[in-house]
This record gives sequence, C-alpha cells and structure tokens, in this order.
Amino acid sequence: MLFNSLIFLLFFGLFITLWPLLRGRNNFRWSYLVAASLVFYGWWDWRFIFLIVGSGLIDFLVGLGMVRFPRRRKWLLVLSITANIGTLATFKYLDFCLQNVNRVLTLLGFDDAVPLAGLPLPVGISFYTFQSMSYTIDVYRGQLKPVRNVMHFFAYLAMFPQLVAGPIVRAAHLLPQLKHGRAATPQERWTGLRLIVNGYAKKVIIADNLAPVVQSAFGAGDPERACALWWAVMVLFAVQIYCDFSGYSDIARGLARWMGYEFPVNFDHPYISSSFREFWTRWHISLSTWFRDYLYIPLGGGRGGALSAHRCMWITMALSGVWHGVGWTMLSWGLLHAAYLSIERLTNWPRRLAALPGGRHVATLLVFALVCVAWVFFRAIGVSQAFQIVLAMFDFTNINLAAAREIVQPEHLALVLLVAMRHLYIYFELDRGSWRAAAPARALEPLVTAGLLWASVFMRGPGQDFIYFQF
Amino acid sequence: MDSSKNAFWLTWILKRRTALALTLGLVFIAVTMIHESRKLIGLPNEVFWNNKLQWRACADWVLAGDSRVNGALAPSEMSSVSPGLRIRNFGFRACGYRPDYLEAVENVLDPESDNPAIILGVSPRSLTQRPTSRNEFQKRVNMPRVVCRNWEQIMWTLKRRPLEHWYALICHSRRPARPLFLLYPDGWAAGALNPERPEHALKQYRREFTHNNVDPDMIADTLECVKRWTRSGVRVYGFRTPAAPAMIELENELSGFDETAFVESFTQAGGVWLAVNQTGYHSYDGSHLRWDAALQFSRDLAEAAAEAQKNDGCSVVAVRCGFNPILAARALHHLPEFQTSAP
Repeated sequence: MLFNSLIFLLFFGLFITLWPLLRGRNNFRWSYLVAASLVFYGWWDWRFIFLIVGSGLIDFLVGLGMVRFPRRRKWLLVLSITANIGTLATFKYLDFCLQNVNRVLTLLGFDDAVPLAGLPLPVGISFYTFQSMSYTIDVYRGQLKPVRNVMHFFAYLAMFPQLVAGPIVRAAHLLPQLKHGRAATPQERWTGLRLIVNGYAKKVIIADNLAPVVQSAFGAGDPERACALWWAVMVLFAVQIYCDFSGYSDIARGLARWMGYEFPVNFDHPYISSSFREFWTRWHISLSTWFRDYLYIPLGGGRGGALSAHRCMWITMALSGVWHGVGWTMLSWGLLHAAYLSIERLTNWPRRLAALPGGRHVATLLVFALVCVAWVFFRAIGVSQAFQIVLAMFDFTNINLAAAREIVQPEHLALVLLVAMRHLYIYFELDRGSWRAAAPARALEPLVTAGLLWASVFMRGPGQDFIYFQF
Repeated sequence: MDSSKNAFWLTWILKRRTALALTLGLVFIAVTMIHESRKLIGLPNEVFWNNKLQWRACADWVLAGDSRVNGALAPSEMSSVSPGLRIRNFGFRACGYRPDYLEAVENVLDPESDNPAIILGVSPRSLTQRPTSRNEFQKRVNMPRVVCRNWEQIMWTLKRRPLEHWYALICHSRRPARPLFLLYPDGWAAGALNPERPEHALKQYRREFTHNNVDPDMIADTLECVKRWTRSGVRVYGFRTPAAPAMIELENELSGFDETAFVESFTQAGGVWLAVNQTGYHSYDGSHLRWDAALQFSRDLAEAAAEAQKNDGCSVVAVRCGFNPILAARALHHLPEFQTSAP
C-alpha cells in the first residue's frame, strides 16, 4: 500500500477512527496495530507476511533466550544476525552475486551458467531487517530489556508508518512508547497534520513532477555530451530524491504523531551542509546513526588511529552503498562518499575554507556540487553511463545551454527554487526569528496547510513509487 | 479592546487549527472539483469509454486507432455519405495495435454485415510499445467491474493538471489552455482547446520517440490481421492520421516509421490505403483535429472509402443503426457552448 494512493488514505482513515477505541488496553492496541500493519504490508504481496513474521519471531525468541541463557548470548546474537543478513542476502543480493559468478565463469571459458534464483524483492526488507537487528544487538549489549509479549515486539517491528521506508526507529526509542496508549494531544495532531501534508507536498508536487525530466535524461541510451544539461538534471535529481525520501519520512512521522508516538527526525535540510561529515548528520539520519553505532564503532571507529578510522569509514560507506541497492553503481556511490570523507579528514578543507570571508558559502556550494556528482552513480543505469555523465558534467568546452533549456523548463526550476528557499531559510537561521511566533503568522498556518493539501491533489505529478522502496 | 479581540480570534484559531486546516483544504478541493465538473459535457466520460467496450457485432464499419482516430472521425458524418451504414469509432486514447486490441476491433464488426469494413488510422505512435498504464483500452479492460461509474466521474474532477498549466496560470506569461471534449455515443470525441496550442504535443512526442520507436513486431501483427480479415471478406482500409505539419515532420524524422514501406506491405496484405492530405486539416494541439476539421475529414474519408468500394464493384446495403437518439440529443444540446469555445 503506497502512502500516495487512495487505498492508503481510506486505510488510515479507518485505522485512526478505530484507534481511540482500542488504545486503552495494551494487548488490544498491539494486536490492532500488528493486524493493520500486516494488512498494509501484505497489500503488496501477502506471501511476504510470512517472511517478516518468521524473521521477527527469530529475533523475539533470541531476545528472550539471551536473558534465559546468558552464557549463550553470543551464539544467539550470531543466530539472529545470520538469519537477518541471510534473508537480506538471499532476496536482495543472491542474483547479483550469481550474475557476477557467471561473468567470471564466461571469462574463464566455461559455457555453463549458474541459473539465477529470480526471487522477488520484498518491499522494505532492508529497513525492517536493520530495525530487527538493532533490537537483538541492544539486548545483547544489555542496553535494552527484551520484551515478553510477542505482540509488543511486532507492534514495534511491523508498525506500518515506518515499515517499508523508515525512518529506522531503534527499539530503545519505540518500545517504551508503545507501552503507553496515550492519546495524541491537540498540539501533536497539528504537528502530525503539518508533517503529513508537507510530506505529501514534497513527494507528489515536487518529486513526482521532477521525476519524468530526470527519467527522460537518464533513459536515453547514449547520454548527451552537454555540461549544462547534466548539471541541471543532477540538481533536479538531488531535489527529487530529497523530496521523495524526506517526504516519506515526514508522512511516517506525521502518522505516528496522530497515533500518539514520536519518530526521530530523518532529514534535516541536508543540502545546507558545508562539509561531508555534516551532510551525513543531516541525510537519512536514522541509517547513518545505525551504521555508526552498529558497524563503524564496533569495527574500531576512531580508536585505532587515523588509518584504522579511514579503513572503518570506507567499509561502512561501501556497505551503506550496497544497502541502498544491488549493483556496482551503488557501491561506487558509497565509495565516492568515502573518498569525499577521507579527503575531508586529511585536508580539513571545509574548516579552512570557512575561515575565509564568504568561505562557508563556497564550501556549502562545493559540497552540494560534489553530492550531485555522487548522485550520478546512484541514479545511473550502469557504471559506464555514470562515467559518461560525469565526464560530460566536467566537459566545460561543451556547455550547451540550449540542450539544458530543451529538457528543463521554468516550472521545474520553480520547484527547485522552492526547496532552495526552504534550505536557505534554515541556512541563514531565519527560522529563529521572532516573527514566526507573531499572531498573524500563526493564524495563517492553517490556511497554508489547507493550500498545500489542495495543491497535493491538483498539482501532483504523474504517480511514482517512492524511490527508497526498492531498498 | 482591539488587542483582546485579536487575542480571542488567535486563541480560537489555534485551538481549532487542525480541524480548520482540514476543513479549508477539503472546501478548496470541493470547489475545484465543482469547477472541473463543468468542463464535462456530452456523454459522461465513463459511460463513453465503457459503452465502447460493450460493443459486440454491432457495426458495418469499425474505425480503429488511437486518440487521433477517436477525435478525428465522426461516424454520424460518415454515415451521411454512406447512408444506412452502422459505423462505430472504436478509437482509444494512447492505444496501440496490440493483438488484444485488434481482436476487440474484429469483435465490434457484425459478422452478418453485407458491407463489413475495418478502417485503421495509422499514426507512428500507435505502432509503438507504449506503457499500458496510459493506454485507455488496456486500462479499461483491466479495470475491475466493481469500479462504480459515478466514482470514475468524481475521480475525473480530481485529475492532475500538468505543471506547465499551473506555471502559466501563476506567471500569466501563457494563458492555460482549456480543453473541451464532447463525447458522442457513436464513439467520436469531438475536441477543442482554448486558446489553441499548435505545438503543444510536439515536445511530448519528441520525448517519447527518443526511447520508443515504431515496433516491427507490432507492424507484423497488424499486417497479419489485415491479411486474415481480407481473406474472410472484410474490407480493410488504412490511412495515416492527419496532424499539424510540424508533427508529421517530427514523426517522419524520429519515429522510425517508413510510410512507403508500410503502405506497400499493407496493400500486399490485401488492405486498401486511403491517401489523405495529412496536413490539410486544422489541429488544435499539433496532434488532434479540432472538431470542425474532424467533421470535414470524416466526410472526406467516407467519400474516399465509398469511391474505393465502387472501384471494387461492391454496393452499400442499408442496415438500421442502433443509435441512441436521447443521448445524441443530449450531446448535441451542448454544441453551441462547444462552438463558442473554438476560435
């Protein structure tokens, strides 16, 4: 069930109408939430319900087992991680590995190829396996007490607002909240509504309207060698993917608020970052912190000296890349960001640049431009296409503004400008001004929200899936 | 006093802002829907398309093709040239000549007819493999039966407008074009755009043909059907759908459609090709004919087909047409409004 579908609106309308009636008792509330979440998830393919229930049950039992058999905690953790990573590897990476094995076999002169498994990719598998793993790791580390009620556990794991595309909510954050059947306050409902409407506006007005332009540029078999065109397309894609993903996160957070729960912020205006380190504290925060806490630090982090820190960071970024998708392009995207981060650590260029007059603004622009270059690998159909596009972007002898004008229309630029203005508003800290608390501004907020709601219906772009669903 | 009044209103608004925002939003949406519903004249959209899908063995002549055929051929006008013929326009928006569509075309033809003919409007786009989501025929065939007619009407008023429409509205640099369609029970969708945009469709076609050329397999399937139909005694006529000169040029350049080769194969398969003046009729958006040009084109095409039949030595047999006069009168009632919209 897509958030941007009519069936979901009906589903949520029904769910939230009955929610206050069942909220009072824990078992009723959890069972209702789990049942609704499984309907939500099973809407894509009911068979995947067994997968999520199966892998969830393993982690639930492992959590209980760690308390019961403390001496075997390590083995139980290995079991949990193997089950989760094994599921992820089978459904997501098996065919990619087999394709590469077949390539190697062909190169070695073997005629026979290993047949591909051709398994369908369960929606949101990367999200819920990571969420599930965080539970068992936290229990293993003694940072979390395992839950004893299976419905309580599944209400956390399968909670529909964040099930398929995050944010990846930690067990320690959500499980205690789920214990209480608190009604949302009027302030929470208002914040929730604004998050939901803003999220829809980002997704259906901005991301969906930019998607066809980006798609047509990348869809051409042989990319046009026009520098201005590709910079324009990559800026559009940067805005599209931000609005697509942060839109989903906003909707998820808003829905949770209406249910009386709170999810952490997942995107914090990433394009105002003046360093790559800052970028990763603003982009997909729940995933970045997951990798930091469950991979980078356990690998050694910065404890083993500078070289070890670089090594751990490269491993983390490479895995972050392949977490996003199967293929060499995604790996390249992760490694490119690792290179950015390494250079930044070695030279400390953002801080040095920021010390110069106007240097912070230059650093911000530079980071944004380099992020756009990295997005080429994220979006490209193949590595060779990505390199062709990157070469075109840096071929300043062939700027070809006409080609850019042909594909990017003023209305697309208007959307980019809207997002840029919102970022600049935060960048120049205008949100901290007292005018926001003034009576006229506050009184106008319902009107603005109503306007966005209207615009999300009539100014929506051609329907697109959320980009992060494929992960 | 004033400040306490202001404070009262602010408190009132802030206390109810969630409900206020939702109510206002829904009111805005409802007002827009009512405004949009006024653009629907003639047969209701849903009734129009679903009636077409219900047609079985009811026509002497079936007009097949995509939206160009759907908007360019008025069966009533063609019947005035060849009286007594039951003619149906079986054109569907964004429809290509896929095997299931060709089969459906055949099913519309009355096997008992004395003068059976299928007229295929060929545009390069109708010979490309376009995504089924935009194909009105595929969409309708796959639509669950439970979808209520009124529901579809409501959804029509909620349809999205392209971004350029809003940009033009806000910037006033371009007045947004107002499309008008008058849907007839015989399958014709008379169309106009006010103001007209003779180059409106060009950009989209250019983009589509970049990645989506004419499909040789689709041509082969179509010609196979032509062969089969002609063998079974059905006359098959073909013509290239007229459009704006710039569009014809673009199609010839980018679509990969070789008209000469196609005509040769078509005639070899037993079909009769009607050579029409492809750029001689007025198009409101570069692709579709305006309703008055469509009437003229229908007449011209019917005369050409009649002439082709005479040369073949066939005569036309009069069979009463199942035309619904009530619906027709209702549709025709809107004609004055429609005429004023056309420049």
